[in-house]
Amino acid sequence: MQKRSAIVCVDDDEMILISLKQELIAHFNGRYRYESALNAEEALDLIDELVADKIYIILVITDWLMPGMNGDEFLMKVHEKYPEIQTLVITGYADILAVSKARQRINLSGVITKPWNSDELIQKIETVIGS
Amino acid sequence: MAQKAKNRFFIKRNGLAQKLSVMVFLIGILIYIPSIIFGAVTNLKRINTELTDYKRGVEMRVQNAFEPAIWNYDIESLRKLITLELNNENLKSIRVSTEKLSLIWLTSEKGLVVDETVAPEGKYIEKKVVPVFRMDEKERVIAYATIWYDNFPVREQYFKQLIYDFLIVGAILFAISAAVTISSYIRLVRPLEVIRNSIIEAGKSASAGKKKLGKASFARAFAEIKDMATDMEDMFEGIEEANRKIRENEAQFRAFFNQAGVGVVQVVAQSGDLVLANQRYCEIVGYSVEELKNMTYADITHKDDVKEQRKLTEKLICGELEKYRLEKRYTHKNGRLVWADVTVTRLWETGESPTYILTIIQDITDRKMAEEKIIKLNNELEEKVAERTWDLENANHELEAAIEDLKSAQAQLINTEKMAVLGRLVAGIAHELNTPLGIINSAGGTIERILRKELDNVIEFCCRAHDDEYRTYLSLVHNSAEQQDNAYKRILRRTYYKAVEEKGIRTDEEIIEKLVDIGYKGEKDEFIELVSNPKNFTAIQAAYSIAILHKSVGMIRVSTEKASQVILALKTYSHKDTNKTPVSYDVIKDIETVLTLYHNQMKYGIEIIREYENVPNVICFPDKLHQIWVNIINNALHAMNYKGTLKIRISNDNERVKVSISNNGPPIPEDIIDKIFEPFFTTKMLGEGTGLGLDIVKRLVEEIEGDINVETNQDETTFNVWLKT
Repeated sequence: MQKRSAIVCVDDDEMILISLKQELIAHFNGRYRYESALNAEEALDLIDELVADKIYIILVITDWLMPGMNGDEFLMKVHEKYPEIQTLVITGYADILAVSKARQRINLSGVITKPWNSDELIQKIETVIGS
Repeated sequence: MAQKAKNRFFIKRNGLAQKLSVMVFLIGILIYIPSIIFGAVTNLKRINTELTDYKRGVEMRVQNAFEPAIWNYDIESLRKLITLELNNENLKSIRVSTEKLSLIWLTSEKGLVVDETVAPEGKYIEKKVVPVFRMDEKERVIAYATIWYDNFPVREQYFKQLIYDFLIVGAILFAISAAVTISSYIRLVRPLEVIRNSIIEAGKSASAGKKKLGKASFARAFAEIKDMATDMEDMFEGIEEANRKIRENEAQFRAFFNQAGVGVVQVVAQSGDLVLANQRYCEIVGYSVEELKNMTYADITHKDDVKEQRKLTEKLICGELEKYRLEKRYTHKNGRLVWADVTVTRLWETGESPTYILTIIQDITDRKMAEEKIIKLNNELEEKVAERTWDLENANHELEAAIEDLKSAQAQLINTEKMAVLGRLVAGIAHELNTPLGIINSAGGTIERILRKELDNVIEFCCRAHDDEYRTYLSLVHNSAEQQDNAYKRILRRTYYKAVEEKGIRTDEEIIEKLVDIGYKGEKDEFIELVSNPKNFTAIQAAYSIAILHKSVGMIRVSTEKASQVILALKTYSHKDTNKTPVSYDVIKDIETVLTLYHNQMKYGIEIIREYENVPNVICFPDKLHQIWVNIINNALHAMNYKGTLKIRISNDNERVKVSISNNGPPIPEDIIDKIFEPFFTTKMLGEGTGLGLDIVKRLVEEIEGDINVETNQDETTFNVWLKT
């Protein structure tokens, strides 16, 4: 039986995705599906697909600076289409200001800085998904 | 008075008119008499010639025409011929005779021809004997013709002409003379009647009581008186004119002397006594004319100037000088000092004994005072200038100090700019480092977790595993080395889930996830076979753990490499070059270092085009070279808003290396293009830039004797830097 809820990770760096997934697996074990995409376009397709499969997306974790569609544009679109989806941004320190500015507009639940601290990461995710 | 002047005028004119008319008459005579004489002489000559011609004609005719008649003794023919000749008034008588007898003798007597026997006589009768020759025989005289000419009619004609000429000329001259006289009378003499009458009256009254003068004697006297009066009038007039001129001159001189703007004084040359001073002189020295008459020039001259003037005056007296000029001081009557410009001229000619000296003085006290004032002001001014100069020097020192401060401030600013660039870089580099660090950290955590929780399971599996299980494990681990596309994985995962559902196999979802994760991509049937056997699960678990371990280690290695690259770039950038002399350096390597540092800022929106030729090393200060590229690239990125194409061309250009960095952002506006290299010029928002970037770049380029320029157009903006090799 497929798991009905998923966490989607978006980053242009595959290693980040792998690391992130490992962190999630380590903490939430098999509780969620962990889906990943290398850019915003792929992520939007993925989300649409998952929604079509009636899989409930509880969280989107995304990088801020990405080639093509940027983090804020991507999150804006997600927010417009699926306002119930919670979002988190993982970003380098340099972009924090830009993220904070856009936070209200894109209904951002939280910001995680790179490099992340595992405990902090998990704590933030748990806060957002309210487990 | 006016009347008198008028009369005098007319008298004078009358005398002149008379002379004029006489002159006209005389000149007329002088011209006409010679002309008459000349005319008469010419006339006489002409008449004589005519007469001679006539006589020769008569003789020719006598010789030729009379010959046949004489030869034939044809007296009747001769008579006719002679009668014909005697018609001329100049011929008196002709006699033709042979040697023996007289043939015929005819005379013209009051227009009639008569036979004659007596030779005519008279003052004007001229006798001529003409021989008549036989035809063609010049030697044979057949007869003699005696001709008496009468010259009287010609003479008479001549004198008549002369008299006639005289009469005409006389009449003409008389007419002219009369005309002049009448004209004189009408225009000149008539007005003089007034005077004549008055003189007559005067004469009458003068001789009253005395014997009356006869009318004739009075007329004589009148003429004399008239002449005398004329002469006297002329004389009086001359004297009066001279007097008037003298009076005028004197008045003019007096006015000039007294009202002259300059002081004039006449001084006795030897004694120096003042003889006559004008008003202005008195004003200048303060003494009256009378007071001055008892003084010498030395009395009123300032004592310090007496000696000099005395010396000059002596030279004047002994003739060394004709005049001199000096500026001296007078002592005014009230004791005041008066400055004067003095011109002294002697009044005697060279060779004469000294008489008087004329001294002309001009009050120049005001000018002297002004001069003194100017000198005083000048001195004050000099003092002030000195003071100001001192102030300026002080200010200059202060300014120099300020410039020193500014220089250090500038150095500080340049440093600040470098730090600002560094700061921006650091932000990028932080990300550049944080990413690999985060991955390393995360991978480390993963490895730790696997080692702690899963390694035992893996070892246990390896120990217990059957061959086929172990083979499965090995093939899974082997597959995991291959990198797979994320999207492909997703499709694969969906396929596998579908297959499991279709087959109704009860399997752990985690197993499928893990298989996909480690890169398993077996066919549906193979996959079903694999997952339908629960025994394989441990092999899959173990393979997953090892694959993740591998992956994590690989990630750590890659990340470490990346991080060390960044650190190397940073180290190169921040390397403090202590060299004072430029060194040979690889410009391509340098630019690549900078590009590494900017990798993070450029990787999402910037396409980098590199066109590098093989170029030699450039001569530069390597640490400063980075700053050039960092600034230009930083500006380029900013201009493109971090989206666009950054083209870097490195080429050989005329034994130099040309580095062209182009961006396809908007062009630099024309109005600021000249200012972009100026310090503190920035288009960035407050706080974003110091405005020193390009100024520093320019300095750095110039420091290593390079050149920089900028080209901008709609398509791209290019900074060209030429560097020495």
